[in-house]
Amino acid sequence: MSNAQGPQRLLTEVLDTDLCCGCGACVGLCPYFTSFLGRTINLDPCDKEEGRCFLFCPRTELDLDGLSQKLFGVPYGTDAIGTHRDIYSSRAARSGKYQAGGTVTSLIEFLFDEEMIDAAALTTNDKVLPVADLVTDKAGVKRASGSKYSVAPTLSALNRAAREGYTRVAVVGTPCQVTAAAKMTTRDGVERNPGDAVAYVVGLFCTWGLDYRRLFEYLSGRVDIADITGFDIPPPPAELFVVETKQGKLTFPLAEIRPFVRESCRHCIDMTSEFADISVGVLEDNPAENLLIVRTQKGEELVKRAVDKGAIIVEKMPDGGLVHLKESALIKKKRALANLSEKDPQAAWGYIVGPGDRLKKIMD
Amino acid sequence: MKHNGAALAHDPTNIIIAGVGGQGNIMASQLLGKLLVTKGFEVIIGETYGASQRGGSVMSHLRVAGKGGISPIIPKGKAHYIIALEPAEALRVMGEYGNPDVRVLSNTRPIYPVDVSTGALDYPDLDNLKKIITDHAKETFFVDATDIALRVKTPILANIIMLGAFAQWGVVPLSVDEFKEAIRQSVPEKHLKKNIEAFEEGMRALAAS
Amino acid sequence: MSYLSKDSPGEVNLLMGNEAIARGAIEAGVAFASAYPGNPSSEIITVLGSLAQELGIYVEWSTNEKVAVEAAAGASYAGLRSICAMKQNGLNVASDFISNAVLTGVGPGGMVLIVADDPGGISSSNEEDTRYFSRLLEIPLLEPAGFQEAKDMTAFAFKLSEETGLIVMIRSVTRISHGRGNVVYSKIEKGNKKARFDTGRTVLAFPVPWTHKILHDKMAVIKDKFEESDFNRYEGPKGADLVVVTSGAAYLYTKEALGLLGLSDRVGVLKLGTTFPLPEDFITRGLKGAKKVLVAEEVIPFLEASVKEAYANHVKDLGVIEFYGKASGHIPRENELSPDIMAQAIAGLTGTGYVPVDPAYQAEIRGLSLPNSPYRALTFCAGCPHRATYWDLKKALKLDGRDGFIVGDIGCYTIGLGPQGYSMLRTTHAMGSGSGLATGLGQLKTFGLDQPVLAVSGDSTFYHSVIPALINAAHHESNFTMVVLDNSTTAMTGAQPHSGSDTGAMGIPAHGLSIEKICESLGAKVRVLDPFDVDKSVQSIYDTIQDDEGIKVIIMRQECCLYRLKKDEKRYLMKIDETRCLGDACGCNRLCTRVFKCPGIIWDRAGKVARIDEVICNGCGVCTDICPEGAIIREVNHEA
Ligand SMILES: Cc1cc2nc3c(=O)[nH]c(=O)nc-3n(C[C@H](O)[C@H](O)[C@H](O)COP(=O)(O)OP(=O)(O)OC[C@H]3O[C@@H](n4cnc5c(N)ncnc54)[C@H](O)[C@@H]3O)c2cc1C
Ligand code: SF4
Ligand code: SF4
Ligand code: SF4
Ligand code: SF4
Ligand code: SF4
Repeated sequence: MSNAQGPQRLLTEVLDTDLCCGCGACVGLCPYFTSFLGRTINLDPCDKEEGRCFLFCPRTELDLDGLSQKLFGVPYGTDAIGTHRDIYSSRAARSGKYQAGGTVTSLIEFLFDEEMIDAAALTTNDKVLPVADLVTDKAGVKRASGSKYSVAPTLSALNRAAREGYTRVAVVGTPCQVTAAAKMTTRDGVERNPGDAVAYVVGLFCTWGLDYRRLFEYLSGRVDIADITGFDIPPPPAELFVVETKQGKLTFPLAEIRPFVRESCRHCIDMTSEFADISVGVLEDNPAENLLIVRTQKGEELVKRAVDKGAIIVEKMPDGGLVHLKESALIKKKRALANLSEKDPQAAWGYIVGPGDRLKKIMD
Repeated sequence: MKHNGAALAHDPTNIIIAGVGGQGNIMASQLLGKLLVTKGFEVIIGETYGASQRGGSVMSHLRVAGKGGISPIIPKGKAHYIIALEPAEALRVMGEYGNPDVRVLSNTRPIYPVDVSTGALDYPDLDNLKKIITDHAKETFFVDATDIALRVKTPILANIIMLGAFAQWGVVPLSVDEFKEAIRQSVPEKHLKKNIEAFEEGMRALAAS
Repeated sequence: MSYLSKDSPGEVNLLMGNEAIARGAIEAGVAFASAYPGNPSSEIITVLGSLAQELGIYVEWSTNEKVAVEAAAGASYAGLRSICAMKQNGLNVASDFISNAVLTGVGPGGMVLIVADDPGGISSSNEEDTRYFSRLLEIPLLEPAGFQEAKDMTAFAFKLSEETGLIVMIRSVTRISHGRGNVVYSKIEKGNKKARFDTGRTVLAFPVPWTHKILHDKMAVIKDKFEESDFNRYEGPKGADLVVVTSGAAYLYTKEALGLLGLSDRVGVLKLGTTFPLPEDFITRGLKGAKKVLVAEEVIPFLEASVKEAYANHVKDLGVIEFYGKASGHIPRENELSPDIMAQAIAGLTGTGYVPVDPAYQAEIRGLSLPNSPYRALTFCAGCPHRATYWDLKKALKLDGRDGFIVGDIGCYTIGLGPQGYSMLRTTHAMGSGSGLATGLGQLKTFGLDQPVLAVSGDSTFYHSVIPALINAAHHESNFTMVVLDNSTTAMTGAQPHSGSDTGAMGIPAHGLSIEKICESLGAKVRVLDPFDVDKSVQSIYDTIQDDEGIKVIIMRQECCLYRLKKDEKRYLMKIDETRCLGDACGCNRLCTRVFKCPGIIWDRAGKVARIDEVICNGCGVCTDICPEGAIIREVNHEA
C-alpha cells in the first residue's frame, strides 16, 4: 500500500471493494465524484497524492481513538453505544408528520428559529429517491422529515453549503455520514475543508441502509411508485417493511428486503452515530417517541436550550431501558468486525485503525 | 528548361517550410513554388497533411532545380533553408534534415502540443531552444511573427509575415515585387490589404534583426 | 477562368498531382466525374467540381464508391467520357461492380478509374496496395511517376479505354497526388457532350467463359500497346551491371538516389508506367546484360513478383540474374520509400556507401532535437464538437454503470480511440463498420450480454454505409444505440459536401437528405442533440440507453469548427478568471487541461493556473460549462 491519501486509493480500497456507503462526503468537492441513483461514481481519473475525498471518506483510515479524543477528550471506549453525557426519551412539542417523535425535525427548526444556523444538510425524497437537500429555512426542514431507508449522498449538501459560503450548517445523518462529518471537523490544516462550516451534527440510529436501485426494482412491480409517501420499519419482532402510499399502508416481509442491504453496511460498526453531538433513534417501547443520546457539550447546551424554550420534551431514561439497545449495537459491532477481518485478512480490522486491544475486547 | 537568367545558389535548392496543422504553411509553399515556376525553374513540393492537420507537425518540402533529378522528399541532412512557423518544429526538422550549412528562419511563438497544454509534458525552454538552433545552423533569424500578427488580431497572418521575412532574406532569385504580385494573385480581394501589410511587417522584422 | 481550365498548350504550371489528373481529364474532354472523398484522392473531384459550370460538365460527390463507379459507368454507356476517383479503401467497396464490368465492358465513352494509394498510411487506416486489384479484376493499370505523367496518363487512359471498352485504372500515391510539380499543358479536346444510350445494345457478362475470353483478347492487344508505350523507358548506360526496375514515386527516389551517389552513368533504370498487363518484351530488352536487378516500388512487391515471372518466361534470353528488393530485404516491405532508402539500397549493392551528413553533427543534432521538439499527438481541433460528444458519452456511460461501450469506424472521430477522446471508442475498421458490429452485438441479450451497445459514425459515413446496417438492425430488432456525429460535412478529408448537404460538388443547390427522417422511416427512435449542451446531452444519452428495445438513433449535431472558422466566426471570446481558477489544487486538479484536453486551454505550470491560448481557441464555449469553479468566462462574439 502506498502512502498516498488520494482518490486512486479511494477507488481501489472503497469503491471497487463495495465498501462505499454512499454518504456523499466525496461528492461535490470537485468534478470527479458524483452520486447517481444511490451510487457513488468516479467520472474521471484524478492523480492527486492527497485529497479531501480520501481524507473525509468514512471508509478510509478510520482512527477511532483520534476522533474520540478530539470530540470527547477521551479514547474510544467499549460502550456499544459510544461516549455520552445523557440519555433521554424525547419528542417534539408540536405534533406533525415525523418518522418517530419528531425530535430531529424540531431541533433543526429550533436552530433556524434561534438563528443558530444558516443552513442544514438534510435528506429529502425526490419521488422515492433520497437526495441530499441543502435546506435554508423551516419549510425545507419539514420537507425532509421522515426516514428514507435507502442511502443518500447527504454530505454533498454540506459540501455545497461550504462552497456557497454558508458558515453555520447543521448536518443530520446516519452513523456513516456522521463519521465523515467528524473526520472533516476534526481535521486541521486542510484547505477548503467543509468541516469548517459545520455547526451541529445530529446523528440517527441505523442498523442498515438499502441499495436504492435494487429496492426500486423490487417495488416497481408491486407498488405504484408515484403513490409512495413514506417508509417504516416497526421495531422488532414485527419483521416488516412498511410502505406508506396514498391508498394506505402496504407491508412486505423484511426478509425479502434484507438482500438489498448494502455490502458497506455489513462492515459498519456504528449503530448510534457515536461521533455526533447528539444521536436520535426510535424508542423501542413507543415508536412515537425518540431515544436521544447527548454526547458533546455543544449537544448538551442545544438540548437544554430547546427544552427550555419548549421545542422538545425530554425525560431521563431509566437505566434498565437501554439493555436491548446496547445488545443490538454490540451485535452490529461484532458482526462488522468479523466481516472486516474476513474481507481482508491482511488488515486486522479493514479500514479501522485500532484501537486493537479494545476492538478485540468487543469481539470477545 | 530555361530560367530567366537568375541563378540558384544550390542546384537543387532544398527549402523546408515547417509548422503545425492549421498554420498555413501549405499556402506559403504553394505561393513560393508558383513564383519559381514562372521564373522557369523546375519545382517539386512534397507535402504532408491529412490526419496531421489536427494538431500534428506539418511540413512542406520545396525543391527548386535547374536540371531536374528531384523527388517530393528531401534526402536526410540535405536542407538548405528551413522556414519554421513554430520554433520547436525548426529543431525537429533540423534533427532530420539539418547539416552544418543549413540556414534557419523561425517564428518564435510556440504552439503547444496537446501533451504540453494538458500539463503532461513541458515545452522546451525557449531560450535554450533558440540557442540550440543558432549553434547548429550557419545562419539563423528569429521573427516574432505570431506576436506581430496578434497585434492586428489575425494570428493566421503569421505565415505571410514569415514570407515577408523570407523575401527580405533574399536567398531565392525572386524580387520583392514578384512576391507581392504572387500574394495579390492568391489572396481574395477583401483580405489583400492586410496581407500586403503583414508581408511588409515581415520584411521590416527581418531587416531589424 | 482558372489556371486549370486555360486552353494554353505549352504553358507550364505548378500543379498538385491531383490537379494534374483533373487537368488530364479536362484535356481529354471529360464530361462526367464522380467520387467519394478520401485522402489522398479528394482534390481531383473538388477541382473538377469548381470548374463544372464553366466547362459544362457534371460532377458529383457520390454516396459511396460503388455508387460513384456505377454512376461513371452509366455516363460511359451513354457515350460520355467519365472519370471516377477514390482512395485505396474505396476500391474495396467499388470492386464488386468492376469485377462484372470487365466482362461486360464499358463505353462507348472512355472511363478512367483513379485510385490514390497511401503508402505509409499518412492519412489512412491502412497502406493497402491496390495494384493487385488490376491483376485480380483484370483491368489495365498505369502508374504515373511524376506530375507531368499524372496528367498525360489520364488523357491517354481515356483513349485506351475507348479503344478497348475497358475501364482503365491509374494508381497514384500520396506523394504524387498531394505533391506539386511542373506540368506542361496540352490542348483541351472538346470531347463528346451529347449523351445517348444505344438501346440496340445489351450490356451483359454471359456466357462468362465467352466474355472472359474476350477480355483476355483485349488484354493481349493492350499488352502490345504497352510494349511500345512512352511511359516505359530505359535510362542510363547500355548493358549496366545493376538495373533498378521501378514505377511510381519510387522512380523519382531512385533517380535522386543515383544523383546523390553519383552513379547515374553506372546504374540502369528501367522505368515502368504500364504495369498490368506487363510489357514483358520491353522488360526483357531492358534487362539484357544485367547481372543484378533491384526492384523498387511501394508498397507490396507487385512489380517484383511480375518481373520475376517475366524473367522466368525469358530466362533463356537473359541468363543468370540475381533479384533484389523486398524479398531479399534490400527494400523495406512496409511504409513509403524515400531517396535515402534508395540510396542505401543502391550503395549496398554497388559497394559504394552513402554518408549524407557529417555523422558527428548528425548525432549531436538528433540528440538535441529529440528531447526539445516534443511529440505532437493527434488531437481533435480546439472546439471540435466530437470532443464534446465523447465527453457527453463518457459521462452518460459512467452514470449508467453497466460497462456500456462504443464501437466505431473511420473518420475524425477515430481519435476517440486515444486519450484525446477519453479512449471511449473500442473498435475501428472500415466505413460504417461500427453500425454493422452493433447489429450483431445488439442481438446477444439471450447470451447474457447486458452491457449497453453504442455505435458511432460520421454524417457522411451514415449515408455511405450505415443505412444498410440500420435496415438490418430494424428488420431484426437489434438493440443498440446509433450515435451519428453530424458536423454537416466530410471533415476528415477537407470538408466536402455529402448527401445531407444543400449544395453539391458543383456548388449548385442539391437536395439535402435528413438523417432523422431516414432513421424515423426505419422505425428508429431518434433524438437530435447539441453536444455543446453538456447537461442536456448527458441526460438524453442516459435516457436513451435505458430503453433496451430496438434501435435508437442519437444525432449529435454541431458544425465542424474548421468549417465554421472558414466563415470567420468565433462564437465566444474566452478568458480565465485567475482568481477563481483552482488549478491543480484539490477541488479541480486541472479538469480543463488534464482531463478535458482542449488544446485551446494551456496549463501554465509556473503560474499554476489555466490560460486560454487565443491563437488556438476556436471559441466554442464548452469549457465554461466544464469548469467546476466558474473560472472560464465566455463572452458572446457571434450569435449561433
Ligand atoms: C437508513 C436509516 C436506518 C435507520 N435505522 C434505525 C434503526 O435501526 N433503529 C432506530 O432506532 N432508528 C433508526 N433510524 C432512525 C429513525 O428512522 C429516525 O430517523 C429517527 O428516530 C429520528 O426520528 P424523528 O422522528 O426525529 O425523524 P424526523 O423528525 O422525521 O426527521 C428525520 C430526519 O432524518 C433525515 N433522514 C431521513 N432519511 C435519511 C437518510 N437516508 N440518510 C440520512 N438522513 C436521513 C432527514 O434529513 C430528517 O431530518 C434509521 C434511519 C435511517 C435513515
Ligand atoms: S477531492 Fe481532490 S483529490 Fe479527491 S478527486 Fe477531487 S480533486 Fe482529486
Ligand atoms: S463512503 Fe462516502 S466518501 Fe467514501 S467513497 Fe463512498 S460516498 Fe465517497
Ligand atoms: S449501516 Fe452503517 S453504513 Fe449502512 S447506512 Fe447505516 S450507518 Fe451507513
Ligand atoms: S472555448 Fe474552450 S473548449 Fe472551446 S475551443 Fe476555446 S478553449 Fe477549447
Ligand atoms: S477547470 Fe476551471 S478551475 Fe480547473 S484549472 Fe481549469 S479553469 Fe481552473
